[in-house]
Amino acid sequence: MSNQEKKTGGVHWLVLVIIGAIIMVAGMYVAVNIKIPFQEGLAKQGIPLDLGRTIATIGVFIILFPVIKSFFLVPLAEAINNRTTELEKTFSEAEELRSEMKSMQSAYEKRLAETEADAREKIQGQIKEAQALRQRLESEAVGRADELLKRAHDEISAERNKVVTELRLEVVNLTLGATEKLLGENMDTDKNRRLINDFVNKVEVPS
Amino acid sequence: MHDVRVAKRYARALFETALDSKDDKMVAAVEDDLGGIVSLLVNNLQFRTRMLSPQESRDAKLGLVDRLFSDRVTSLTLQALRLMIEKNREDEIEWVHREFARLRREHENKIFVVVTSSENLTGEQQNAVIHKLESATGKKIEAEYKVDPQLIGGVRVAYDNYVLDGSLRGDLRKLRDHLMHDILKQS
Repeated sequence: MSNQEKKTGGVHWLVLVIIGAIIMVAGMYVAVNIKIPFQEGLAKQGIPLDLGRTIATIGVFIILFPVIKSFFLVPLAEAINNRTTELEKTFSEAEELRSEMKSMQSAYEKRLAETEADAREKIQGQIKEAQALRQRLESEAVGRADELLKRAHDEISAERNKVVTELRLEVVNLTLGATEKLLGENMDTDKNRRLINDFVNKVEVPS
Repeated sequence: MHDVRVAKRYARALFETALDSKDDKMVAAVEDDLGGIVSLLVNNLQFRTRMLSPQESRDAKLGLVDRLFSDRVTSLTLQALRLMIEKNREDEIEWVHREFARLRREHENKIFVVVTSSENLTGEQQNAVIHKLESATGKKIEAEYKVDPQLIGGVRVAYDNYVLDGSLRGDLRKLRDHLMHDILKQS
């Protein structure tokens, strides 16, 4: 109500209704009871002006004005205001959204750039790692090949030594076998007796 | 399951009992008895099988021993044999004999030597070998002589943990060991 008072220039609507009613009643009274001479003159001239009814009509308008104001103008103004506020709010939100979008876009572009840099760095790292792995595998393969070669040489050498050793042992066995056979064929009682005497004379008996 | 400690205990008990006997020849008699029983165990498969078989009852083994040895061995030997059978120690007889002989030699301050030669030694050669050993060890010698043609020539004497090898076979073996050692060292 106080808003309405402000919007209607501070005059209370009830005052306006009362004033309008008084004016309307006064006008009707004038129209019914009082004969105004210049009205008759105007009527004769073809202008049917009834001052009392005009005043009553003005009173009716004064009564209707706050009603119209209350039920039509104020809601309309409020609706316009609301719409304006809403539009301002919408524009504000749109502006906020736009700035937010801009910030998001810049953040996204920044993140994209970071991601690209990171990806580039990772790719470079992977390339370096792959190169290191390749070098390591190559060196390992070379080392293993060298080791296999060395082992093969060692095995050949060991096998050769083994064969030579077996050959020597075989020669020893054959020689000693032949010696044993010769000794057996040439042994007789006299030689055996000499051997036993030598043993008795030379043996060192642990006490 | 053979147990040397058990055989040693039986042998020591038997030896000390024989030694305490009034008969001076009891030790030798018991050793001869044990030697005969061991010889029968080694050479007679039927006797060995019956004596050492776990299926043969203790009474059957005792009866067999009584039948075979009651009038052939001393009562002390027979008692010891019966005791070993009763205690299921008949598989220790051979080791009891060995330990008994070792204890007897120890008591008599004798060394048991095995003299092996490619031919039978003459009495003179045997005496020379024994004399050499007795003078070196300061103990009496009890010798067992064996002939092994594989020795080719010379003689080999074994006693306690020693082997004195004067045979050609031993010389050849030493030469072979020496050559093999050198060859293996070079390789």
